[in-house]
Amino acid sequence: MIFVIDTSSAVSALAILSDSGNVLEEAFVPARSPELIDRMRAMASRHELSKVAVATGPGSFTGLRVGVAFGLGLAMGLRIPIVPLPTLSLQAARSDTQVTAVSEAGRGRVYHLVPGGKAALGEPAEIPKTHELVGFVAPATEAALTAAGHVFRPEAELRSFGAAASTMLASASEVAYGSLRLEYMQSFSAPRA
Amino acid sequence: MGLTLGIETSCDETSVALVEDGRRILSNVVHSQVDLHKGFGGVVPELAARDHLERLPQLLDLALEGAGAKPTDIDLIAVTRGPGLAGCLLVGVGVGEGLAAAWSTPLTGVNHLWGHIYAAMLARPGLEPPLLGLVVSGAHSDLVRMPEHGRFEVIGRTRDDAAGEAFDKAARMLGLGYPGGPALDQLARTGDARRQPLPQPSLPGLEYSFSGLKTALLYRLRDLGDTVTEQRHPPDGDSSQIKADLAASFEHSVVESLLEKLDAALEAHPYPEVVVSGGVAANTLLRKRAAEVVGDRARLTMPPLELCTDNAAMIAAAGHYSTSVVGAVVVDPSLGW
Ligand SMILES: [Zn+2]
Repeated sequence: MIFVIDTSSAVSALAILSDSGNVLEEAFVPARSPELIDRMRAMASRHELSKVAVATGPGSFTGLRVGVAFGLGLAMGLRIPIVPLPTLSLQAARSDTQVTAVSEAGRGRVYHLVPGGKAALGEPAEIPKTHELVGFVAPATEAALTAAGHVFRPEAELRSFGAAASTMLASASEVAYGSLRLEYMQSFSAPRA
Repeated sequence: MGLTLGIETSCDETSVALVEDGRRILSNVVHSQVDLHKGFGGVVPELAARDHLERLPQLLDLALEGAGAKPTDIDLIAVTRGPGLAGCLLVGVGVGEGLAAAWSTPLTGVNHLWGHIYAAMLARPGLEPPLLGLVVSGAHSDLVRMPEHGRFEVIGRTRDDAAGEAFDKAARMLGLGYPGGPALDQLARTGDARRQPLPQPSLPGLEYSFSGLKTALLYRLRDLGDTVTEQRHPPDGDSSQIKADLAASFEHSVVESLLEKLDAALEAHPYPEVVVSGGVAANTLLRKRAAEVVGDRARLTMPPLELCTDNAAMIAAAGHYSTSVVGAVVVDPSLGW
C-alpha cells in the first residue's frame, strides 16, 4: 500500500492507495489540527505500507514541515521508498482540463502554477485569470481569490485527491532519504546583527 | 528502563543518539552546521531547517550502527520540542513522530533546557538531584533548582542578552568572525584583562544583565579608534594585543558575573551538587573559575565539551526520566523551564 501525505495547504489530505494505484482510503483534516498526527499514525498502522509519497510544497510553513518530516520518519522507520510530489502539480492533477493550481503561502499570498508556466508567489490580483483554480486553500483565501475575479473549478468535476496522487505516482520516482527537499520560493537574507 | 533514541534539531546542530537507562551513551552523532551559516554571520533558520531534514537520515543510520542497535531494541523515542527555532523543531519532531509510527514505539517531547542539565548525568552516572544548575548558552543564562527528576525551578535569569549572545556580539565587534564564542575564548588566552578593565555587571538578586557590558565595549572600541579592529599596528602599540586584552576583559566580566550569582545561589540554597552546563560552559575561564568558586561547598559537574554543546544524548537522557509519554508532541519554540 502507498501512503500519500499532503499537509502543505489549509486542508491536509491523506490517502492510502493499493500498489496498483486504487484509492482505498482518504481523509481530510484542517491544517494545524492536533488530530493530524493521530490520523496519520492510525492510517499508517492499519495498512502494510510499501511506499510513502509526500507533497513537498510550496505551501504553509508549519504544515509542510510536519507532513514531510513525518513521511520521511515513517519511510525510514519502515525501510520503504519515499516519493516527493510537488504540491501544485498534485493539485493540478485533480483536473482533466487545464487549471491553475494554488496553495496557501500565508499573509494573504498564494503560491500558484499556471499551465505551462512556473510556480510563483503573489497576491490574488497578481494571478493570471486564464484558467479555473484548484487547491485546498483557507476559506478567507478562497474568498479573496473569488473577490479578485477568480473562479474555482467545482469539486464535483475534479478527481479525488487520492486519484490525483495515483496519476502522478505513475511517473514519479523515489529519492534517497537524505535527498528529500522542501520546495521554496523565498530567498534567504542574513540574520539581524 | 531500556534504550532511548534521542533526536535534537532545535538550532544549528543535528544530532541523533542512543542512550541506555538514561545514563550510558551508546552513540551520540552530531553534525554541526557552523560552516553552513558562517557566511551569514549567524544562524539562518530556514537553511538550518532544510539541513536538519537532509542530515537526519544519515545520522540515524550512524547512531544505530554505532550503538550496534536495531529499531526493535528501542523502547522510547525522545525528541526536543522546544525552546528553539520553529522550523527546525518541526523537522525533528515530525521525523520522531514518523519513526514512532513505523516502529510502534512510545514518543516523548523533551525540553531542551532540561537536556543541558541531564548532560551532567551522562558525564557522572551517580549524579542525582537535588542539585543547583547554571545553564549558559547562546539563548539562556539560567540559574535553576532541581529538587527531583523532571522538576525545575528558575531562581535567576538574564534581563537582556544571554551570556553566549553577549560573547557572540563582542566577538563581532572585535572582528573575530563566526562562531564568536570559541574565537573570543581563544583570543582571550593571550590577553590580560587588567590592561583593559571593563565594568562587571551587577544587578540585585540573582538576575543577570549583559547589555551594559556590551555597550561599554562598544564605547571603549570607539575611544581606541579603528586601529584596534582593523588589525593595523598603530605607532603607539600593538593593536592585536589590545584586542586580546579586550577579549580577556570582556570574558572576565561575563564569567565573574555568572559566578557571582552562582555563589549567591549556593549560599541561599546549599545543595550538595552543582551543575554548570550549556554551550558557554565550554569556555576555558568559566570552567576554571567555576571549580574555584564552588570549592568544597558542593560537588561540581561540568560535562565534557561535546556534552555541553547541543547533542541528542542529553535529550535521550532527559526523555528517559520524563513522565509524559505522549502520542502527539506539541512544538513550542518559546518553551520555558
Ligand atoms: Zn542548547
